[in-house]
Amino acid sequence: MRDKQILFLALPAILYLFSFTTYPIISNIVLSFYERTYEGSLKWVGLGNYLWFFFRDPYGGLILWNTLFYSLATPVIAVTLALPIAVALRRLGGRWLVLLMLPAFVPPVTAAMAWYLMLNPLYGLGYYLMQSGVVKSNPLSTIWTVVLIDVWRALPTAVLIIYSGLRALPRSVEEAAMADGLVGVRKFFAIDLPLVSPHILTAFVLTALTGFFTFDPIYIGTAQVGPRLLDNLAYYSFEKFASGEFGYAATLIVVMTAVGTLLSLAYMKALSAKTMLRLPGVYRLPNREAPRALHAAVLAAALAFVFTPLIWLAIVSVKPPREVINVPPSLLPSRLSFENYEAAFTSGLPFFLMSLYVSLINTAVTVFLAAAAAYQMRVHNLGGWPLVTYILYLMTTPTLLYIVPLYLVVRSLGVYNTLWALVLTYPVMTLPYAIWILYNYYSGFNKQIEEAALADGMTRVKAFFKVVLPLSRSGMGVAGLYAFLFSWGALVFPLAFTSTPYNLADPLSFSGAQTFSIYISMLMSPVTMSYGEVSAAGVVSIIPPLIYLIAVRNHLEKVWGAR
Amino acid sequence: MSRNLAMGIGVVIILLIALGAYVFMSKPPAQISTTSSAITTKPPSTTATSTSPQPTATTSQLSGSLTVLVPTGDPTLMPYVRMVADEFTKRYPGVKITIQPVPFGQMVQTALTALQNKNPDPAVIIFYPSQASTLGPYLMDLTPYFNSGVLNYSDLPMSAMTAVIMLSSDGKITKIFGAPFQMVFGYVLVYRKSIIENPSLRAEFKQKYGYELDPATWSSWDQLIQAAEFLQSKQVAKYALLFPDGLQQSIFNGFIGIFYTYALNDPCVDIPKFGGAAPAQGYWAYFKMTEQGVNITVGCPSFLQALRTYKRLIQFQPPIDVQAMEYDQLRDLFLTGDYAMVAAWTSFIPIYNNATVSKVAGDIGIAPLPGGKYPYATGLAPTFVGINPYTQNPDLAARFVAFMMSPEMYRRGAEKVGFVPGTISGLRAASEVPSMSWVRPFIPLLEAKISQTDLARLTLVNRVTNFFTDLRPYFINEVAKYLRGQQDAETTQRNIYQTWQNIAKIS
Repeated sequence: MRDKQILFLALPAILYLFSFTTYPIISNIVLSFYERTYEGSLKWVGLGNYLWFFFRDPYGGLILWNTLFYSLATPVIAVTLALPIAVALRRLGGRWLVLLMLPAFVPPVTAAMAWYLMLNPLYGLGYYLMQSGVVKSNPLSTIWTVVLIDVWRALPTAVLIIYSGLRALPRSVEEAAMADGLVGVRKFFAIDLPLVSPHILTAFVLTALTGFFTFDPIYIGTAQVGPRLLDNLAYYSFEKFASGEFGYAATLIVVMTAVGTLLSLAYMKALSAKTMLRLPGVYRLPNREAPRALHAAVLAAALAFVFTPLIWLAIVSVKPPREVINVPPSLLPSRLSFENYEAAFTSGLPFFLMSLYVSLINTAVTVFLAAAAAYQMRVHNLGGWPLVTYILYLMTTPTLLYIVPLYLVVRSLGVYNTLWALVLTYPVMTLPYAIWILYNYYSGFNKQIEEAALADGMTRVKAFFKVVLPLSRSGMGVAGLYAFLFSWGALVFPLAFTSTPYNLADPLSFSGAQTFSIYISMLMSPVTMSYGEVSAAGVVSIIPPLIYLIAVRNHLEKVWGAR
Repeated sequence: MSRNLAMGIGVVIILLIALGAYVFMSKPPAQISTTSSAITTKPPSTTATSTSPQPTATTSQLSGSLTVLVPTGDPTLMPYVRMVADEFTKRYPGVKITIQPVPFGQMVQTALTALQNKNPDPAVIIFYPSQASTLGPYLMDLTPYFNSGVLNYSDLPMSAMTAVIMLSSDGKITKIFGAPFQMVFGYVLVYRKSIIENPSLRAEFKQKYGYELDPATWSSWDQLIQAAEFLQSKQVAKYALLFPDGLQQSIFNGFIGIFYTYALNDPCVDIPKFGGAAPAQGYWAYFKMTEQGVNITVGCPSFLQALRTYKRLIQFQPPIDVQAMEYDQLRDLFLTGDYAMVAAWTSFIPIYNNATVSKVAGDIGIAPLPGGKYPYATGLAPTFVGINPYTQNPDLAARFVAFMMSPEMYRRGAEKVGFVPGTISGLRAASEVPSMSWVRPFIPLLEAKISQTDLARLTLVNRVTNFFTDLRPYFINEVAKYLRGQQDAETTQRNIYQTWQNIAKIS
């Protein structure tokens, strides 16, 4: 009876995940053997799509290369930058961490847009970079801009993981090093770095996933570079999906699934890594503390890197509309103007409301389902290691993998372009993360609390709701934050499952479900480009996640180890 | 416990696989059957298909509701559709019209979803040429409405119709799934009158080059380039000419006009002429049928000439490496007053003349490209309107479309919102509105006829199913390499020709 109740609590999340992830994976494989004909029907082509991609598509090779390039360049740069920043944080105090974490709370489409506005060669700081000779050509016309944006987004994760590793070093190790006379740079390379190498590996794999999932910077930036030249598998498959070539899109997704699975395996390997990195020749390094000023300079540079695009975004947003497209661009507005905000609030309101609805609903649904499943998985070992492995695998697969089959499901259910399409599909991307966060959270949970409730005559279900859930607020707050961030910043699913803005004339119909991310990307498209309005919308898009962040900051800093 | 769970999960997976396979196998996209009867380029003859209802309603009976899917972005399109919808509902109070705006980027997906699902809404779908081949199979055949006179076939510009006509293998029209109701001309030369019509500059130019500094009289790209050189040397503006070289789209639609002007005299491309006039330029010029099959004209000498001219045309603006000139740059940079001339879409004209954002408002003149004498580089970029075959009231939809395309509404649209009509009579009506008189030089572009035998050639590009998705991206990137100086014109031509031959999927 009790076992059935455990299963009952976990079943909704597990059933949902299995049905909404295994069906798409299988469906993609089937679809990949078809192509659309001129008349609009599907025709069996066997391995034709695969052969086309690998042997005839003029950009097939480049797209594979770009996928690998983003997946490698992003972690290499992010981890290289994160190491000195984490060391500086340990020396100067973790209170700076929350500021460095800001990019993690900025919607990806806003991040991409902020960088593209800042580096614009006519209306942005890119103009001065080119005039001063720092860069010779349009800074937006290079693949490195995409990497730069990825690094900006991935850096907080890398810093956080490495910083947590450094903080977790046992005091006994510190004391032993001191007894051996090891300090400063030599101690870092001889002792600290080998000990945190598993954390570095984890940071590397997680930031590699950011590079692998890259979508928004390509979506925003491709007009500046040329078609296909920035594309990775994720973006290219979306392009094919959007043009109705479902078979070819599915083929690309299958290839992406294969690459993603390799990365997932690497991630799981990294999580269980025990091997420490040992560097040769470390005893030739200086055995003294680096000056505090150097740490401060590193931290200042990191903060400048994090804040410059956001500050530029805020400046552009308060420029008068005619001043926004001045060449050369003014560094400060001649007067404060809120016309851009008026425009953003007027035309952006339906998108904003829809984002808010879906983010709040999905956060609540995700946290509730995840808590029920994670508790049983951790405390009662439901599903064992295979289920945990599956959750980890889902965390490392791009949401794009699901769009073609889920699009067909959403369409056949008649909920396309409604709030319900998003509510139904968003947990696919948020549930695995939330389960994983809460799974770790419940590792320190006292099982005897539940047992006491059972002894008092409660059923297991009642004990969970009455006793366990109220005591899980801290973990749920953090899981909820991630669910909210994913929901608020999502672009791929709303692009695939919606087509018009929320119909405010009939608000209870919840039809028309384009989100604020779509609004921003629409304002960045060449046809409707409006630099002032999009920057105002970008600033607005950062506010809800920041409010949530402030609300759960205390819980978060405990998790981060910033306190 | 784990064992039970594993078994449960296994069962669920098997059920899901079965369900998925069933859903997938039982839901192929809807296919529209097409007619096999031939239709001439005169008002088409009768035809009947399962999705082609015979018009029955009379105007006095009109009632019901319609949803119209309208892409956003064009500054005159949405106001015009709203204006027509308001007027229509005033005249027919029993009719309710809902306008459904959709971003350009999601246009295809939205329309496809409705059509493949056989949803009755949206009843009326507005779309662009690049979307025609995707939507065409699913849209209603409008032939019955042309036959019954609800829609006036002879008033439509044939050059613009090629994107919405489907042919059988023996060259007969099997379906017409759209009608051009808005016309955008592109590219046209928009210039600052205060510069180009300056008497002393004109006199000096005439003395130096022997012809007028008047775009309406120019007859070649060389004359445009000489004029730009002259203006640049006089420093009357920061830049003499802004020409499209954007990497998303404008290299592709900018180049075709240049190519076409050279192709007109290139037997290798073999541009058809009917009654002495050539059809308006279009991507169709890249393909022709020969006895050996489909031939790609990219290998012809005129392609090389066009490439070299293209490079000369973009020398008067910031280099492509600094800023490629895409749709938004062509629209926004001319507003700053830094440019003397711009190759632009006519849809930009209301923005250029908007004094709240433009420094050149009231100071612009318009001419075809490369000049008024031979305007063949300026093409037609029609906006089409089509009907959803599953709409509950197709006759009402057709009546609304006909109303939208009536000279009366067109004239009003020209007066009130600067809308450019898509029909010959509509354009004539609009040209009588003083603020729209600039459309007059473009009327002949709409009047060019096409013979029945040439239709196969002009619609051949529609059968290249990956023309926009695969061929276009490769073209843009190769030409961009040439414009950047990374490869020569011959290599560019060879690469495009060979790759297009290798990857073109012709149905």
